[in-house]
Amino acid sequence: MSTKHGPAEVSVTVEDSPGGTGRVLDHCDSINGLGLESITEKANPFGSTAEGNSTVGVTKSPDLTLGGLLTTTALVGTWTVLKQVAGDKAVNSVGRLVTIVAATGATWTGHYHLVKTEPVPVNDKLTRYTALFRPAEPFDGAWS
Amino acid sequence: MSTKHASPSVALFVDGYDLTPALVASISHANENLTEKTNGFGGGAEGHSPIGISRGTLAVGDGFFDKTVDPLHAAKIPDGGVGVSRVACVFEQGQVKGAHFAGYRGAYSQKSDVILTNPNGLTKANVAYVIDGEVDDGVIVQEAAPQTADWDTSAAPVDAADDPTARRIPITSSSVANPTHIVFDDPHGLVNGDVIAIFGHASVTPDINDSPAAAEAWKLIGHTVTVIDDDEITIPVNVSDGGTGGYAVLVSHAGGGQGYQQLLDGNTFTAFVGTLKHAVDGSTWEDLVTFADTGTADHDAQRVASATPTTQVRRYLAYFGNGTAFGTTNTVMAGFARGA
Repeated sequence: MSTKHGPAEVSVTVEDSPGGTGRVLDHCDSINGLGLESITEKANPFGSTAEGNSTVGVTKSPDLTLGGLLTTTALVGTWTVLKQVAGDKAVNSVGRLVTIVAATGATWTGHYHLVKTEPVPVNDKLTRYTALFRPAEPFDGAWS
Repeated sequence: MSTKHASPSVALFVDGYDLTPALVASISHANENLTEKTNGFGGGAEGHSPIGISRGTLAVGDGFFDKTVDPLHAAKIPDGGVGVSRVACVFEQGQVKGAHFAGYRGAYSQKSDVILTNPNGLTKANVAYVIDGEVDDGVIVQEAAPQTADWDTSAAPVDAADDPTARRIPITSSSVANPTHIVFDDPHGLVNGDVIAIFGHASVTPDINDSPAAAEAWKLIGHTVTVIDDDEITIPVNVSDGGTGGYAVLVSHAGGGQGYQQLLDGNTFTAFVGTLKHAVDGSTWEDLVTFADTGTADHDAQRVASATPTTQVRRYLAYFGNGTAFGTTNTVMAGFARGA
């Protein structure tokens, strides 16, 4: 029988500053941009009858977007952890280590630059946040 | 239990006007750190690096458009219109002393879209602002509230150690030495001259935590830092029995900052001067930022920098308001954004 997985296994840990302390966010309900893409290039020459592609030996990951309720809980609140600090835009920043357990046995880790954290207040609703992360250089994203 | 926030906590003050009642649907704001793709030949993965520049954004969605009062299109704000520099403050954590807000200088309204609905719907508008300069992360020192006489908040100042969103730097240990060496679990990010408050550090003699039982010199004041390396500092305490655990919070840094003042109702005033003050100990106050006299203005907003970009901003902040000819509805909000 196949082994399925659900949201109860998911957790998101983000350093509270570049090189800082990893904190498990106390609220995250959307994650977009996990994964690694192998860059390819169309490589079929004249005379071939089918289009083909070759890998170029370089991978890329998309921007990572986290979303959820904005909280100001000490240590693990989403605004507490994801509030931008000066180190996030420093030219030589090492970025923040992001660890996402997508499912038991499927953990994504990598260093990202926190590009922006946007509070999203909406009338008659709880205030949300959206945080945008961009792969750092050199990028070390990997599944384990 | 996590601390959430909701729409009743949201407010928008622009140039001394409370535009919150005109906000129907949403307001979004961000400070984007710009990056550049920097992976070169030979690398196996695409990567990016910050370029040291940030870009602020502020947009209001589906606000009420009224040609007479028109808060989003500046008819309500005299001499307004596209291209006028404004001082704006956005709140989503409520008008509470110590809560954070986003402060903008030079928020020009750039693009406004009037939304014409069917005959049964109110006319609304979307407005996007171009931001000139930094977006500041400020803390409310005086929440917007009516005042009836000269006042100050020195009896209940804002303490940097009380900020729940301040970074807590985990401590590994303190050494038996004079001065004692504090080792952290992770890079501390502190610089010489910073002042930290320590909490939860166990089994140390003397007690170097922020509120020891004894009347120590650092009680509710903090410790001045001397950096050894990325993970280690010293503080000027003779420790005879080293401790473990706990965390440090940065409470004072020589980074200057920006003071914000929004006079929302200056009706009846013939003069009003607000001053942000700071203190090492919460009792001996020194001027940090003095705002210009608002005179007889009903509405006014100011963003004023500290004396220098390297002013040592102390742990405690308070606001002092001094006016002439108070009425019953004079309302001021003030806050301070510490520099990096």
